[in-house]
Amino acid sequence: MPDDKDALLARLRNAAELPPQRWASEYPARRPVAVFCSYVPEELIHAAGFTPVRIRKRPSRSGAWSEHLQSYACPLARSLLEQGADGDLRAFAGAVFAHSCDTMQALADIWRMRFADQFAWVVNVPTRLDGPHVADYLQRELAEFHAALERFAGNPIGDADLRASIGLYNRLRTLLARLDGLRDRMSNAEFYSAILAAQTMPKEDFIPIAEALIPKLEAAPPRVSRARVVVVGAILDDLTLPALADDLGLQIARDDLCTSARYLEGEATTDGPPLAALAARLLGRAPCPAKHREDWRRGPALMSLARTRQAQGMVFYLQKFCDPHAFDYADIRRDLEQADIPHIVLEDDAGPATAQWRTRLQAFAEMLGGTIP
Amino acid sequence: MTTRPYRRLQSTAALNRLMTAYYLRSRWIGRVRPMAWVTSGAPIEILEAMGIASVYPENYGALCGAQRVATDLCQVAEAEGFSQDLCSYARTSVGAVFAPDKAPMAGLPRPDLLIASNNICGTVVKWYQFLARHFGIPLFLLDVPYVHDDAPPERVLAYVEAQLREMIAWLEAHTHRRLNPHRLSQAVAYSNEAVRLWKEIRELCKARPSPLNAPDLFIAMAPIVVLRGTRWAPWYYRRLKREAQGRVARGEGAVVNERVRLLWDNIAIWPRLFAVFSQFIKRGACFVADTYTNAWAVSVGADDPIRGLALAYTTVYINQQIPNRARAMLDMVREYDIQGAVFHSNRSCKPYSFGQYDLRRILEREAGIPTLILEADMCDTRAFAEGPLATRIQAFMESLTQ
Repeated sequence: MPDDKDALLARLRNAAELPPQRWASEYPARRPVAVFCSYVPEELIHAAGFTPVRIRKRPSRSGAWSEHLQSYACPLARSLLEQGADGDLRAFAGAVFAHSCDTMQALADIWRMRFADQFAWVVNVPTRLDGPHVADYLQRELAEFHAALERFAGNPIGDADLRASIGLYNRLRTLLARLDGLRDRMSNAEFYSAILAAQTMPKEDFIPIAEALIPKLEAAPPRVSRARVVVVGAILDDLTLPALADDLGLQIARDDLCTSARYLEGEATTDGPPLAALAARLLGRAPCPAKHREDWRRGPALMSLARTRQAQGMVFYLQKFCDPHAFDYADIRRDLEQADIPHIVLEDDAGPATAQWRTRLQAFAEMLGGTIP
Repeated sequence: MTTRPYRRLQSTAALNRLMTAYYLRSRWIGRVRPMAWVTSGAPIEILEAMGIASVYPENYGALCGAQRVATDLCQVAEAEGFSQDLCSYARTSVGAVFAPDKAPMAGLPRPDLLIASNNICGTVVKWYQFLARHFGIPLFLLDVPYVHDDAPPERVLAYVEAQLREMIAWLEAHTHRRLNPHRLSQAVAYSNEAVRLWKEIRELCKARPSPLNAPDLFIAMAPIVVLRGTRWAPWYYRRLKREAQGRVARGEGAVVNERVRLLWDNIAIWPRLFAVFSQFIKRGACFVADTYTNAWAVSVGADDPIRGLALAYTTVYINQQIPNRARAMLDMVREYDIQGAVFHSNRSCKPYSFGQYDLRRILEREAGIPTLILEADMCDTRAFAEGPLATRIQAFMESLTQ
């Protein structure tokens, strides 16, 4: 295979942009399972012999979601349902939810009624991430999922299988963390191609590409940007926003997104009981705003992130009707104003509002100062 | 001479006295007891047994909605950065916190601690996180996993039970009050008596004509929410039950010429409560059952109160999967002889509203009854217009009565 940097990056971009309905023809030997949340313990699905594939939203085509959901459901839920109804996931062996917000909770019920003949499971991840009883509960919940996967796959999942999958995912996350440290050696669109590809490709395919790519990026000169920003929100669906940031000379220095930082953070240990290790990772990683941890304050954490990454501003990339993020925004906004950190809100509803976002992002970039390199 | 189409309840005078006393008491009780703000699905019996006073921001939101001040308070919250798409109870509460001068009774008394349970929604988690930060006070989140099964699995009940015990220790540490087991048993007994009366009152509505209409129950439900675990809830419900029994005995309906029996789903449209329901009343339609007030008809197993509380608070209606809700609705249709169902698609309450399109299809298919979806909001009057609601109600009623 061609292994120059651009060829490797192009492969990642193709994988990142591969629509679910073409996934099976791209990887014919694999059995994909759709994953709808970063709290899904993908290692278990992998150990059962399936390939977990994160499904993101896409612009609506058929409007089939409206048979089941009101227009004030978030665009992610609407899109996932539409992709199911349109048959985009026909080749997928099943779908796995994790408990997060009210909308995904309802979607999981609706999904299991609408696609009653398919495997669909909800990992009922607790809302509390702390306290003396949560780890025990989550382990029991993971054990149920483990048993359900065994029944569905028709094979036992041994501890050795699971440890091997945990090891694979740890390797993946180590590589993603290294790529995160090399953001300034590539464009934003290239970086997020890699991040999204890591969630859609088989990990066994992604890892060698990343291993080949990293030394080449390390050898590349750092890129100069006009200003550095942190992007905060739920799901990054496509490369529209990173590409806009590239056009305007902004470097996304870090993010707090569920298809990026919250996915790649933290490793599970491989020496103890595997389910306990998976539970500990899920409880210990940066919480999704739909979760609760007594000691967790997202505003200060984000400001600290901005300082560490030398970011001058913050971009809130919010899904319309996403309650947990909307609540957090109201709270974090005050912290940012007090700390004199400028921010902007870009809202996503029916799909990328590219022109509008460009105008707003351009004004924000100009406010942050600097010149386009 | 024209006859009023609707019979007023005499016992409402007792309810008004009780609720006035409750809110007056809440003004001063915090000086002698710790004051907690709690969600409607919080295990209040434990707080009662520990002598911890409580108020309910959700009930306060409904009150603001009914008094038509909620929209103004929502706008205060929006000016502070809270999205207009968020729950209007939460925005009303936040608005009252920021601008007590615009709020009825100058807002709720300042809390010392917060108890939230996500058995009604995930919104309360975020809402109470904000309150905890704003007031700088501790928050206990009783995490009640949603029931995606026919019944709650043992691991969920064990988790909730363990947290209830944790909550008691947490309350003891923060208030220096001890849980008195005898008082807990007594609070559970009062709670169960109120629930038993509430169920009996609701079941009286199986009579034809029904002695009560859903808006009566929406008004009457306040004590089962805020005075559960006290003697005052049974005190009022005994009066309401007597009055409803009298109506049944005399063959008097809440709607004077009851011709159509309906089911209501979701929270009331508080600012237009009687305006909306009068559209049905004038056409002889009575809501003989509803899913909202049914949510408080869960009793607590008294043998092991903590286990009983865990089961009761896990199985509240809205914490159960949509197929379970469908079964409950189908049972109501059969038991109450219902001819149509009206779903309030409530922009403020996503966990209650999402799934309604499937529920309506299930009711139409399995019970063979027509359904109507009304797009509105429980408090925010900007989220809907009365004209289109009236038109849709008219068309629905015409189709039902033809």
